[in-house]
Amino acid sequence: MLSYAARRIGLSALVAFGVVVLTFVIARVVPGDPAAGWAGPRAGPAERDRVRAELGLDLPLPQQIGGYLGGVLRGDWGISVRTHRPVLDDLLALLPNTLQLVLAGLLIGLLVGVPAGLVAARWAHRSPDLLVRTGAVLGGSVPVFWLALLMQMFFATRMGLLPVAGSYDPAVLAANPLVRITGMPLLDALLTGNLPMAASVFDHLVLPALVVAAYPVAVITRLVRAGVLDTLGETHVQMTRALGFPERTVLARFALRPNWNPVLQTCALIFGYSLVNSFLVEAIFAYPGLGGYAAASADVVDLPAIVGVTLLVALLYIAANLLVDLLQAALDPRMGLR
Amino acid sequence: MAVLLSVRDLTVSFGTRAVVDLARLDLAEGEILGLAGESGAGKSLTGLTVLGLSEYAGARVTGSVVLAGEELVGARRRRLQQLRGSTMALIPQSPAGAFNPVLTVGTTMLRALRLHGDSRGRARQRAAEAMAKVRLETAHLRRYPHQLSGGQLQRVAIALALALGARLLVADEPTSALDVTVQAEICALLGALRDSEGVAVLFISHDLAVLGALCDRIAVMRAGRLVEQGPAPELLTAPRADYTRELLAAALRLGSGEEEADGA
Repeated sequence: MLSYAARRIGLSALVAFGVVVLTFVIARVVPGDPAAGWAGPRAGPAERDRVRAELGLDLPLPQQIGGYLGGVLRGDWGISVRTHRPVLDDLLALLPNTLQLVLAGLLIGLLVGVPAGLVAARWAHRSPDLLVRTGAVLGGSVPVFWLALLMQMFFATRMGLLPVAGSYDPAVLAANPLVRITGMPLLDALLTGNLPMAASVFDHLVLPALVVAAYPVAVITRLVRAGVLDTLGETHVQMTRALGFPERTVLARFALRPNWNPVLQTCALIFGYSLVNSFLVEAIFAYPGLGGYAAASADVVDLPAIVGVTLLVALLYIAANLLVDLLQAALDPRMGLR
Repeated sequence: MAVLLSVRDLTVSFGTRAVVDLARLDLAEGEILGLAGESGAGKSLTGLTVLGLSEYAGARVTGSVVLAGEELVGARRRRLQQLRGSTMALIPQSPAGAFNPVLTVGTTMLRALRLHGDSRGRARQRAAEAMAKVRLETAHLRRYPHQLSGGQLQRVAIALALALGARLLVADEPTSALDVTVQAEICALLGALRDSEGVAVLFISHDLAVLGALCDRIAVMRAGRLVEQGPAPELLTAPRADYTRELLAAALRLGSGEEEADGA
């Protein structure tokens, strides 16, 4: 188990290194001269050469990569051209908001997708199954921006149940200042017992989280349905029935169990997908997060910021997969053998 | 001896096709009844029907199956669930696949005992006692299925039935997935448990040699119907039906007791 974990962590470090190199190379080979961008439109060739030397762009590519890698490891991800602040500081300030949104979506995905998948498997090829499958196809194929607009129109504008946009009510924050612990507003508010703020953050989170959850719900539902149906054909399920377990228990406590691993594995993939998906959702709901930052950076070709966002998303994705790999080894006794 | 299981005019059908059509089959307490026949004769389906499990495969059942005085055909699902495990149990064909791969066999056993009303402590105690009866150690309960051999898993399955207090074991080809020496061990164990615990066994097998060595009586099935039944020595030495003679001849040709290619 320990050597398995060590091997996975080592492999992850390798992948992270690859991502850094790739990010860097892509950033450097795309058309356009970063030195010209940095020096400004009125700079002459002499100015540009000076800036090129200053930024280290005249060095051979491997040396540049080495310098960049060193910087990344030291926590120096460069300075944003747009905000004039260290990129890493910007990213770390916004990341928790995005994580809060994506994790909420994933949580809804599990809470809805697993029971829905079980229901579909229990009554396979009958009306509950058809209903669930139709919902899953819709949830998986509806464009996120359209769903977001629809939700805003229906729940916020028409019914007035939930706020249209933002991540909290500024008036509530003014009256109940938030202490930063994890950086995720909802978690911090709950941890510090700041209930008015927690309620306000929650209200603002519901709609974007539901939109982000559409895809996870769809995928997890289908995965659980297919996996459980498959497992139902196995001898051990017949054995649990022969032991007198009611069908509900047979499905939820026995047939579901071997399927947690593929579900977890898919959660890591969905996490990466949702992270990128949330960029759109953040834009529509004016929700402060990495999405807005990435969009604004792209607007002004803020190279260090764009590279930083890409790298961070990649690292998060690697971390999620690593976490899942380790969880799987802990969940499935057969994994340790591989 | 008192009749534990009596089957009358039992039909099991898929759609309009009757796959099993049994006129009469009885099993006394403490008796081992062999159910013989070629693949597809309806032996396993008969076993599953006794357990009330053939409906899960989409079968329609008519007729009568009486277990310890209680009619099972048409019984309430809840009642059948109570009887399964506690009164009748399945000894599976392929022990390797018969346990949930991500749970220890002890977890499965404890959950089953708790389901049938034991307290946590009582369940642990009964599980340990049952393991001793099948000559396994309590420590084996902490193993996952892939860490046990086929023979050990089959013993655990039998222990599970004993722990739950089952009076009838439906053993569906319980030795066909095991090698010959382990086959003999499992058969010896079932025979010993009949003598010590008084359990009855419906032993389904296509292997007449195994049946002859273990069973008190044998019933032969073909195409869903009973061909003949009688005391084991008699039926094997002086069969009345042609089909039984054919089966015997086939078994002799194969060299009785050798493992046969198809386990299905």
